[in-house]
Amino acid sequence: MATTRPVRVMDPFAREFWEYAEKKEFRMQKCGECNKLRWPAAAVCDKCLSAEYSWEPLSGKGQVLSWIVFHRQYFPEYPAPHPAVAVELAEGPIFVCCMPDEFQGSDLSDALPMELTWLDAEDRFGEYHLPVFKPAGK
Amino acid sequence: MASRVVEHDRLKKLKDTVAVVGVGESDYVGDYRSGAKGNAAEKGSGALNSYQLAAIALKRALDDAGLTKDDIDGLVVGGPMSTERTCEVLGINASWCVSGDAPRGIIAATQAINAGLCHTVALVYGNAQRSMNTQYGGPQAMGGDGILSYVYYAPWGMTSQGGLYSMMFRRHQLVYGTTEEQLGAVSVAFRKHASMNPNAIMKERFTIEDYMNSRYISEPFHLFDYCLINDGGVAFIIQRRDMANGKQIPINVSGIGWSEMDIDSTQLRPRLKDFYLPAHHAVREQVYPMSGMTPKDIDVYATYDSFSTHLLFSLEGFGFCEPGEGGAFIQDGRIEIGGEIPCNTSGGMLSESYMQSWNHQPELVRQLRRQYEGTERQVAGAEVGQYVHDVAGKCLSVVYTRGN
Repeated sequence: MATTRPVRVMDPFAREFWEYAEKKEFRMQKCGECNKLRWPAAAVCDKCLSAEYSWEPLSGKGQVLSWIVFHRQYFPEYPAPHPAVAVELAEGPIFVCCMPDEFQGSDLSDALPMELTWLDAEDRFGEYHLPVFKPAGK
Repeated sequence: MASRVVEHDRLKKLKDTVAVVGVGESDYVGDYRSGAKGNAAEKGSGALNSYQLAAIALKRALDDAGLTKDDIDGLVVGGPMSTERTCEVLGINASWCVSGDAPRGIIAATQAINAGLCHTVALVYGNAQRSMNTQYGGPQAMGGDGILSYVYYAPWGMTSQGGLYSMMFRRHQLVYGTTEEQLGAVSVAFRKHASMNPNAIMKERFTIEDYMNSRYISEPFHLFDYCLINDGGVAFIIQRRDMANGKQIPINVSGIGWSEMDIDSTQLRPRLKDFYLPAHHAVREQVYPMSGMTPKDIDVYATYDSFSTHLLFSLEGFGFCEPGEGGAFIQDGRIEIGGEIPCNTSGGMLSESYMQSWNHQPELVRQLRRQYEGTERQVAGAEVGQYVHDVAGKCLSVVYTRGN
């Protein structure tokens, strides 16, 4: 039984992202004309408006840009204290996520190297894998 | 990226063409303390209605201006109200009507009046957000469709708007060494101002120690970094300057500016990498040359303050201090009444009332009218006021001056 998590924002382009995530593949759209990576998924490139794109595999490496710790519970699925972290990916985009339960806000520092891992997850769209980041090598 | 348009000559033609001639608001305190034994009203009670609150505020603004409803030919509708229902409830067949928050409404009204579409615009806002139990975080967070970052990270447990601003402040701490103690000066000052305001909901003063001892909501943000959630209505009247009847000292709209930073906003890039400062700089290049003012000329200042950090970032962005110096700048009473740049002198959204940009406008108008003369709340000799609005990179500003 996968862990139930707050529902995903779903549209045709987000769906493609999550289809890769179901296979534990962390990919973002890369513009077919100007190569800009975009996140979240969208219909067109915000730089050149091209609708051509491919799903670029990412390294799963990044570093801490900022983080917070919720001391108030907003979701029953995420009891406080609950950290959230903004990770600047090696490829450029910024990815906002939580961490596996064993990591705390106090484990983080500016520019700390982070690496991708996956959590089990389920919502009304079905079971999936949730990409998150944790301190590299920990 | 395309360069920003700054048409100084065209902007200057609009300077002082319209004025605020009347202001009004609902009884924030009475409505908030309507629970049993004078406690805070229950969230979700359904006791109040947004249109009712807007109507109360409009009647008071008309009385203040010495105008009647029949004088109104334009309408700006704010908050969760529809334009159609607002016009129906208030009994106004407008010749011009739009939705918007206070600064968007002021800019739109200035344009419409100058275009000859109308001459006397009522800007009205009502929001029974406490009675309706409106959510700004969690599974039912509003605004999700408009501002994707507020809901996109729900699967990771991150939808709170306070969380987004707290993350921005953490970045400021990491880059510049700003401390929580420094930030505490904002909520302490605004509460002090609220203690002088009979219509402010939270009047009990507190100290930096109290602030540091208050609980975290989204660390590094403490409870006191957050605005209130309450019901209320605000209205004000903007009229063609040469039509003002003279009942009140007209408060001129002398400068306006608007610039947005939305590219990569869901990634939080403009927030965490730029603190939205380029948008502030662009607005600065409109509002100051148009009004002929600089930060040194501003006697009383108000900023959108759903969170305390709005003040820190806007003072840096508009040149009151350099980027990174905000934490030190706001110390030692500088932002308090009697200080160098009194900010949010009604108590703002942190302590007076969470009217989402609306309650700041009547306060600036009354300060420039010197309506508090003889009390400690009055900013002595106030001639020039500025409102700065930055909500997730949507940056707007208005400079007001005291008319003759």
